[in-house]
Amino acid sequence: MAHSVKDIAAALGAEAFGAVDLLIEGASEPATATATDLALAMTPAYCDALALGGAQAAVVWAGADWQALGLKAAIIAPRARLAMAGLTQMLDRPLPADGISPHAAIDPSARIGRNVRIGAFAVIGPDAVIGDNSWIGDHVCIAAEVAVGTDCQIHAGVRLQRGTRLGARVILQPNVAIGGDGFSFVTAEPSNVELARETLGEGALTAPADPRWHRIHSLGGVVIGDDVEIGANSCVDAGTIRATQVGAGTKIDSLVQVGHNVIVGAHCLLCAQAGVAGSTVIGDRVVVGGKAGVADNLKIGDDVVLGGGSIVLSNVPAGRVMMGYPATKMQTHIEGYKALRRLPRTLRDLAKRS
Amino acid sequence: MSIKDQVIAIIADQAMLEPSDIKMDNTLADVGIDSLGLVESIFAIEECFDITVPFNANNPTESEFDISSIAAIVAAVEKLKAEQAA
Repeated sequence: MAHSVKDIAAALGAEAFGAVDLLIEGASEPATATATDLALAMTPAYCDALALGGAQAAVVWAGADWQALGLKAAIIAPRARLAMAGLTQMLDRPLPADGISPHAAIDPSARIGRNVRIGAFAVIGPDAVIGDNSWIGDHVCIAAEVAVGTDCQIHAGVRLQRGTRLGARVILQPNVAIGGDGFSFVTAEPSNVELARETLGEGALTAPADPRWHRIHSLGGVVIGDDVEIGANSCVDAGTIRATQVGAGTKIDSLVQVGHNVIVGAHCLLCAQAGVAGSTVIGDRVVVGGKAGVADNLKIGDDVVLGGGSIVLSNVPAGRVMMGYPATKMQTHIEGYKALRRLPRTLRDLAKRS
Repeated sequence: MSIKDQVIAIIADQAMLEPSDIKMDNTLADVGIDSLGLVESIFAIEECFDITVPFNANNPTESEFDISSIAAIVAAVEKLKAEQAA
């Protein structure tokens, strides 16, 4: 569907200039844009690329001389990335609204809301509840008694295991698995892991008399808040007695593992390959960088930022920026790194003096 | 190579630019070097010139070491090199 430059700018809360009635059919990188594309040239770095493409209209940086760039119309957005949020939403294709597939296996006791779409080969178990306007992709499995809120998007291959409850407007990308059993095992006598922790690695560990890991079953399920989005192939495991929780507005990237009994607060970001071990409690608005890890049974305060690749082994107070392994305050980490980088020269200087 | 050329080479390396793209009145932000990039550049300068740069990684603008422009960095390195050679 085509939109005028004027309408797009209005939707973004941005200003439009020039031939604002030009119709736009899609968005494009500046160098490959055609006459009906809106080129996205948010920084001066795209100046040369604009000339290579055929765009007549573009979103340009503040202060750009758009006429000199050969454009007929321009949108100037004060915060380019925020404009992208509105723009991409406007130009996205809607999900197919094709009702319930004859190839879906839906238990007669499941309660399906109004205007729900269910794809082919989806399986919906007994007493499951699907909220109004929710969109269920192909090959989605929703176990017995699972509750899906209103206006959710559950993409292809998602598995919602027993005891899972989703809020409203939750988006699950392909193959998200929620409510798998937690990684929870116990030995009859204190295990080597427990001994290692207690002694901080002092002395050699020996083979236990009884090495068997006894399974702790996961009865608690998972509760996902409103407006949560979870990326492809990420997992949130079921809690042991109470539910594992992900707070409202939190966004989880692809390939993230959230362990059993974890509580993630509201409006957090968990980036790709982040891992949060069992029973850890993460505050609100926490950012866990890519590949960062948090050990089990810890507390991470509100508004903490964990840099990419950090591994947190102890509690973190609110508002702290952490880096490294073991993660320390970013300031401390940089001081330590500074000292490390200066070490070879310091040793050389010392050798000269002796 | 002069101190100026060496500093420019270090900055260019960190900024992923050609040395000829670095202008003396550029700021580090102009050439796309952020706070962690600055830390790396300082280490490279220390290692190249065998000097210790008095900088506060947590608050670089309050350091004795002036990083307000490429020219300022070059001048600061020349000064340190002279002082620390003495």
